[in-house]
Amino acid sequence: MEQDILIDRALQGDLEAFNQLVIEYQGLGYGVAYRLLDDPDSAADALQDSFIKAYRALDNYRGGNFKSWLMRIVVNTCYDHLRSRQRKRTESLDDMPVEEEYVAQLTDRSETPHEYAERRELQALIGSAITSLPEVLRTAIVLRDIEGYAYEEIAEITSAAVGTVKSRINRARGRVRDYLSKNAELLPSVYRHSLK
Amino acid sequence: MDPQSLNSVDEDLVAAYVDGDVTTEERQRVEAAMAASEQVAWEVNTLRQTVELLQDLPSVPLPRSFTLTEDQVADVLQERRSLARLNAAPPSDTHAPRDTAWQRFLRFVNGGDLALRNAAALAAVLLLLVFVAETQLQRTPLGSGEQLSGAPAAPQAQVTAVGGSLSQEPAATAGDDRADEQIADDGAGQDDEDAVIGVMSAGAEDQQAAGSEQAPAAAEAAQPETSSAAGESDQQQLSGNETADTAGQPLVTILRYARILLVLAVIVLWLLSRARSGSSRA
Repeated sequence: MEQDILIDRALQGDLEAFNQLVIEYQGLGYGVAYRLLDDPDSAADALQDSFIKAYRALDNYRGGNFKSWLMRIVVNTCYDHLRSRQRKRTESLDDMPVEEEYVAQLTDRSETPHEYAERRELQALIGSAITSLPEVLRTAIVLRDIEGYAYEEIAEITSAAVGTVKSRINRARGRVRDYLSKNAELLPSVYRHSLK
Repeated sequence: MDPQSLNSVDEDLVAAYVDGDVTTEERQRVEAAMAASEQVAWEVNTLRQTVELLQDLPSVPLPRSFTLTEDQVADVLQERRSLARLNAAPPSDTHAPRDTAWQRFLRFVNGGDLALRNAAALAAVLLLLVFVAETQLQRTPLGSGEQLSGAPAAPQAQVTAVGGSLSQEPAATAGDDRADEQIADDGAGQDDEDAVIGVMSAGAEDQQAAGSEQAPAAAEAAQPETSSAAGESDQQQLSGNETADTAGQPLVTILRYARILLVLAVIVLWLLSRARSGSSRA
């Protein structure tokens, strides 16, 4: 398997081989880090740290699902950043600036400015709802409902049983729903009435 | 909210139902609970809508590449490269197939400096020649004396045969009539053969000195004149053989010293050859 070959080469000091793995997984990793930290700069820092940790810990990789092994490092590194951020409490999550590049990527040229503003508010609301969750619930809902991981993969990443993962997902969904229902005026009309 | 209905559906089953990851039996169980309770139905439906909102979130574009640079992992990188170089080194001798005894012998013989090894081989050949020559001289002292005295070749061979017979059977020489008769017949009138008898007498000097008086006596009785002539010839031959012995002695001594020197030369040259080879390798 090509991935195993790249890992073997990386273990022999071939950094280029490891960087091919980085290129393959950096999109997935950044998505998880961004949703867990709800901040592009922190997500970038956490992801970079994750890849450095992964390269250093590559000797400990014992085969199996490399993606799950790597994402566990990403999730744990994000936890470290969250705790570090909580200690510092330098600024409120609500005041986090949004990168202009990211805003441009999210712009749908067919929508009106009003629609664009509403969509941004909804995304910010959902982001706030996710970041209000405890770490384990946040991880479960991000991996399952945003990144689309299977229960078994989430269980492997979080070192939990599949039943526990399902319970966490259900509880996280319920809390997000409750958070959103408190700000129903920001929701699309189809959801606004049903969530109330 | 109907607690009875909620208790009938586990939360992990609700999550699986919302995701569509349930069996037919589980689906029927959840839908029965939803039909029995509006609260359960609301719970399940609002969770499904929440999931739809989450899934509608746009994917996050990468702000930059996260590939690593050598500086970021320099220590680990260097360690792994060093290990890889060590692993790529040729296997040690312990893993190499073992040579046969013959291959080891050939390598041992062919080892060392070529010029010195050839010199040692030349000295060994000379040593062999000297050894053969020395052995020949020691085995055929009569032949050596004969050559020195200038006796003819044909009688020499004959006498050697007779002398050999006498030397092998000293008792027969002392008392054997056949030998006496042969000597008498041989000495009947041929000068060449007188010389042969003389040589035989000289070669069998020890045997005759042991007390065998019969052969000369018988020969003297049969042919007194011839016998006296033969006696003179014996005297001359005896003196010739003594001369030959004294002349051959230095040659044997020289060969003996040459042999010792050549043995030393072979050993020293071979050792030098190995030593020079070892120093050039080092």
